[in-house]
Amino acid sequence: MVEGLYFMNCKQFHDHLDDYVDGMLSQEQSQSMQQHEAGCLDCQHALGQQQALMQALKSMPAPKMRPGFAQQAIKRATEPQQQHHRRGFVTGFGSALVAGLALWMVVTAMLPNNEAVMQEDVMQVMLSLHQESTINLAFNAPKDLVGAKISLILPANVEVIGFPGQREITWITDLNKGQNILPLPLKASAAVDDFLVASIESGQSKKTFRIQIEVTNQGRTELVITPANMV
Amino acid sequence: MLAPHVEHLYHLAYRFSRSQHDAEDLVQELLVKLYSRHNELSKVKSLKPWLTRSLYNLYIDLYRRKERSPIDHGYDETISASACTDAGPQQEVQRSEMQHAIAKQMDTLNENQRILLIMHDIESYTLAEIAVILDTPIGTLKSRLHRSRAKLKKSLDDGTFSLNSAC
Repeated sequence: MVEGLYFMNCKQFHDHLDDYVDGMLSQEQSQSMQQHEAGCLDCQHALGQQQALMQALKSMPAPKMRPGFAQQAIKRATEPQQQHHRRGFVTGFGSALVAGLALWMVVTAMLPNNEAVMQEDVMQVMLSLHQESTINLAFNAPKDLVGAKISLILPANVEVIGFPGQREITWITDLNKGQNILPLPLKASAAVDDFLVASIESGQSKKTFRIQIEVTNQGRTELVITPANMV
Repeated sequence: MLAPHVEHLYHLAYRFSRSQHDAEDLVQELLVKLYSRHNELSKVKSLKPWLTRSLYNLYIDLYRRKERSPIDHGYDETISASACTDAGPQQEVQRSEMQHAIAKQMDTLNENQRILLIMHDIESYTLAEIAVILDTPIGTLKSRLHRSRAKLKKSLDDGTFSLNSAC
């Protein structure tokens, strides 16, 4: 660490920037930073960006704790004979969440010319062969759901970008009340006339959709959503 | 003994897990574990960092068994309550948009980087405190912090966002 006031170059200024905004530099080093900044527009800009980032991070919002949660959590923790049921993260969902559960899924497509057509329970989306195309699976949950299981089974020659060669993909995730979007970037590498099976499961409730994927030789992929099967 | 710390633990658990449900579960699980060790707790000199470390360990233990959710929850506008007191409406919108962008980009950091940014830059733990909590040398933390901020800035710059639009 360099002691005493000295003339910094831009590299030294950048090297010390983190410590400077964190207030970790000596008085002499801080003065050297200020002296350099005063005569260097690029470093002024860099400092401004760093300070803006730090300020935005400091004020990142967080939800307030649910009223009564602290008392409830302590009460449960001090009753060792009680079964404590964790609702999320690994396995097991609250049984109250399962009763009367109604889940459904709709599919919309992120297409530049908005070609998605919805006809009753059938949706058709025209996509291009060999090109990545993202469809959004929109899961509408009637209430917050913890630990819902989303599964995909892909037909041959269709893959989800980022999951090369995987025909079956499963996620455990939480769903917020209302709409939850699962962006699904797909790519078909050959002609396909088969189904992509998507299902969502929470507790004892499961809903499965069969999505017909047709890939034409004319460089277009057609997605057809058939009515859901309740399992 | 633990009651005064529950709210802070909840906020930290929310930052870690990004989910109010998981935050409640984490805190509940932690309290259950700790109340059975109340004799040990009473001997702890500085409870806050000790609790933070316990929460972090519990989170990591559970996180490793859970795939990161693919769901894009977007940005919860209902929790965007923090504000710059001297900011005007336009600045407020810019700040909110910027925080939205930051929240998304923080998910692109690796878990060690994200946790460090949460603890240091958001929750204002000192590096010395974090060194104890994470059992990691300060020098390593400083390097990691530098890389985390640089990555965050770069990803924000690569997007359409201007860091200068913050309050």
